[in-house]
Amino acid sequence: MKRPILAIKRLIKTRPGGSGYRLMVSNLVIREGDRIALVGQSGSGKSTLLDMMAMVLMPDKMGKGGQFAWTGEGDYLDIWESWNKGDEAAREKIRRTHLGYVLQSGGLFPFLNVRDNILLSAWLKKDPRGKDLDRAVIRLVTILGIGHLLKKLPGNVSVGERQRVAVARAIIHNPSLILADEPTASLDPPTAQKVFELLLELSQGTALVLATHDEERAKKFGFKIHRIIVEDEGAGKGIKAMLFNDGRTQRY
Amino acid sequence: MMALLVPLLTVMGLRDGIIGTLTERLVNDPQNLEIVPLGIRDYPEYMFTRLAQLPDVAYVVPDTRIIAYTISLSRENYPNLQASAKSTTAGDPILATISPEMQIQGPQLTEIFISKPVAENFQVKEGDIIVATITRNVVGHVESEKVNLTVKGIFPLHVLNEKIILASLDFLKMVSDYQEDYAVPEMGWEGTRTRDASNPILYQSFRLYAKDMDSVERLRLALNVQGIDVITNAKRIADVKRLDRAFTIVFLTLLLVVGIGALASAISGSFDLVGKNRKSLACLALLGVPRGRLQLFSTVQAAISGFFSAIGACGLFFLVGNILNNVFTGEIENLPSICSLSITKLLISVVVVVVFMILASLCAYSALSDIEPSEGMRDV
Repeated sequence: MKRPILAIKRLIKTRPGGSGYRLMVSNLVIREGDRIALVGQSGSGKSTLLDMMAMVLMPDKMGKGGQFAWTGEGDYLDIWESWNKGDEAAREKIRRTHLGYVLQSGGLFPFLNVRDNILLSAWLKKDPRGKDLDRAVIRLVTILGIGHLLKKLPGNVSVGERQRVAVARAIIHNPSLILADEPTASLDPPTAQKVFELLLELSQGTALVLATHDEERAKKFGFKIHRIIVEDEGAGKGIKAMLFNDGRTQRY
Repeated sequence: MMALLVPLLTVMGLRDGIIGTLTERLVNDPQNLEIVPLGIRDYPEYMFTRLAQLPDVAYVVPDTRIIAYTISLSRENYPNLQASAKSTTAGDPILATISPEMQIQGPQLTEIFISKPVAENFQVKEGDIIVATITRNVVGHVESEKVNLTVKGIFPLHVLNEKIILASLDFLKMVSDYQEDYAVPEMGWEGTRTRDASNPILYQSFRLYAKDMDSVERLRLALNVQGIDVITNAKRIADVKRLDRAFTIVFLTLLLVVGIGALASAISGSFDLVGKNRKSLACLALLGVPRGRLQLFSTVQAAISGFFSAIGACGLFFLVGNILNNVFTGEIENLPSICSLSITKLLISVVVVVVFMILASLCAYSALSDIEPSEGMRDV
């Protein structure tokens, strides 16, 4: 069995403002190489869950026997405990070392050129590859078709090209888990298709969690669908959002 | 930031240019530090020894009896001239206006320094000879002696513009003795009286130079206490000091106002910078950059921005200074530059601006600590 890298059990996250919304995750374990798509209606909590996986947002409660931990090889971290201890450095280290991100509009830095934007993740990880790292960049940008853009600033390239740069940046440092939040939402369909294909091709062997509205495409590319179902409990009890795996066939 | 710095540097430049040059000139011009007594009286030799020991005194030389003040000068083929004679010795600050070497050497017994009008009368240059005729009236008949005096140096016109010679103190003492019918064996001049310890020479005046501008007033008061009224350049010195004070107050007021404005602008700029880069900073935090590094990033960015603003302001200051200097060249008497700042002061300005910007960026840390990495997940 593949090694688990992130375990979330019996987690509850509420939203401020007294709406009564609470996201409940009973059991979600992400293993090496997993392809998971988080689907659900707007406002259901896909991004909230993704933020928690990125360790930038914390749950409010853990149920009895709950767990929120990074269990990847070499770097175990009890995220919940580190949050309560205020140990931000430990979470920052996991983010630098093991996570990659593909954000909706690329998330590129306007003051760095394309090459440096890509290399940033590797620099932050203190990637020791040296010249091999340059070769890895060349290989990636060649596959992504953005080799001619290396010296350009993100403001001078198209939206589709920016997303390809974001894909390269998410992959260059060989993370264990890539989090992608609607990575193709701002692209036209053909470009979205191409970027999606490239992301999958280049992230082989890496766990990929995708927050998306495009359930069909996710299914087509073999993603396990995890759906957030929102239920209004009525009578002022609030809204309960629960994560279920593929098509509510199994309740955690 | 540059808009605030350029006027400030210009005011600093004007203060250093105008007041600095005038003050330096006052200090360097020995005439401004000169103190001479009003009228004449008898001063014993020991008084000058004591005066020379005062910490405020740079140099003092006595003058002999007033009848030795005027000497008849002649040179073949040139009209005779009556010139005032003043005594001098090595170290006399006024000799430095000819050359520093002259100040160190002073005159030998029969060497003289002459003013430009005297030199022009006899068409002489350094090394030429002028004949001095010294006369005395002894019981109804006039006697005289002639002495060859070698011109050792000629004063610039702006230092001495009257018919004056400066001769060695020893020579003028001999002239004075001769005129009082004392024998002067060193010069072969006869007389019925002999100068010895029982009738020491008395001087009638003196020339004194203060150490610096502040010493002038202290010496005036000290001499007044001893009943000696003196002439000084105190008024001119006071005028320049007043101007210096006024400029300093104006400058400090401007410095305060501009400084507060600059700091406020820098603080506001730092908050703006954090606001402008908020998404990028959040995204960096998302990628795992520690918060301390983000703060450092913000501080370094502010320091770099401050450095280039200050360098740009220095460049503009040079431009403005050059324009002012060119426009006012010749307008203000003998002033080489009216707006200038030393490299040291400019470097200090750059350092102060960078420090200001760093302090301002520290103020914006609160804004920085509000940034959540989760903001980076959404958009940049």
